[in-house]
Amino acid sequence: MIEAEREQADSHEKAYARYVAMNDDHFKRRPSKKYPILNLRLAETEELVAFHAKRRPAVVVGTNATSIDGLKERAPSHHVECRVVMAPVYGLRSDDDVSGFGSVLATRIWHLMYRQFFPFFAWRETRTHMPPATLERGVIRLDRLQFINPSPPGLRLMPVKLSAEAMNILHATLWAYLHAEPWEELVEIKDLLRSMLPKEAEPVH
Amino acid sequence: MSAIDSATLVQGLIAWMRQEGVAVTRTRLMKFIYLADLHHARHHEGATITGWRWYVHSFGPMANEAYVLLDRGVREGWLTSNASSSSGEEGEPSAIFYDIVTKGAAEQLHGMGKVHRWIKTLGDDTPRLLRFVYGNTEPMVDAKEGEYLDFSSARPTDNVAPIHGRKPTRKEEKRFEEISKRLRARYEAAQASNAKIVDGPRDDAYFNDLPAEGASVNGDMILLFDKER
Repeated sequence: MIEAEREQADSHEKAYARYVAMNDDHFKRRPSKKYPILNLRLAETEELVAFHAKRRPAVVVGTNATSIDGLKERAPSHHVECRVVMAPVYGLRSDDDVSGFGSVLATRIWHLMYRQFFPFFAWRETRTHMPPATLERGVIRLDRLQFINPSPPGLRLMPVKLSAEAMNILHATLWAYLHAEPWEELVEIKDLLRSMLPKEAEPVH
Repeated sequence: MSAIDSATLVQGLIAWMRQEGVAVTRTRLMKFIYLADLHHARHHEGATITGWRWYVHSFGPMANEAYVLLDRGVREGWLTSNASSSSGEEGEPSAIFYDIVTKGAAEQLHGMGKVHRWIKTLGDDTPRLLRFVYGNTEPMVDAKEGEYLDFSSARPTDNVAPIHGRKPTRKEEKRFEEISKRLRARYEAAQASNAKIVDGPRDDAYFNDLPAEGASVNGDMILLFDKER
């Protein structure tokens, strides 16, 4: 959370802010909430939140909520119905990213053992008429879904997409993750892959 | 214990920096010595090459022993230094540049190709180098200004790959193809059913009654951080 107060009591121009962990006193009236700051416009139960964000590749998993033709002309400026549902791709551990997925968990994910994770394979662009695009292998995280406005600078489309076959399995996995009854085909694929799991990635009991 | 001493390490790193066309400022050199120590610690259970006591400074990890060694190198003649009259990008009042006198030290830096790669990719961009050091090295996690760094948290991070299992049998491949075919048919049927769902209208009532979203924030803020956490 960002707790801000005016630098000078009689001016809205500048604020000092402190980055603190959320606690039970946030999002309600409290003594430490001092004079309002005009440019922040925070009501009693509102706070300013700061996230540590990282730019990552992400996979579009849903577009059914995107704008319909002609909608934008009628939509109020503060509401834009063109969000796409995206699942970010997290990398595997390396010298340049010590926080990535480790090898045992990655192997289990490659065998579809977790509903919230889906394997993402590397891509090397070889088409000469396309801009260079390299995607390292990683893990698609369905437990980190985001609804994104598809426009730069926040989002840059890449000239590559998942195959239809991969998309079918990804969507079946997503629906199972969201508590729908899992399709028998998904269960069969998971069982087939589970039988091929290398010994080093087997759970230890 | 490392097979090379700190003086050889410093000369080898300077040779690599020169080879890659990287200006050898004291700040950059200090960070690459740190990264070399980190790389060694990752593969030697936390033991560094130099054995120096690294601490957090405003420009990242620093070790007083480094200053002593660099000054000794200049005094003994195996390093040269030049001070620049204009301020360096690191914000120091004047940047100090180093060079080696004799060649050959880089050939003794075995098993440190990773450090050479870091010099190549990060060397000529000090802010990027500092961001890498701050954000991608285990000793800097939760480090506090002025405190000594702990290299025992360093761990091997060779690029991870999933563990290869056996290849599928021909029978398993055929089974997978058959399942995929059924899955595709069921998926397409589900998409067709979904497309038939008719949502409510996007009419005036819809737009007028949507909740207003917050306006974007802009302005100046000065962030304050507690020294004690």
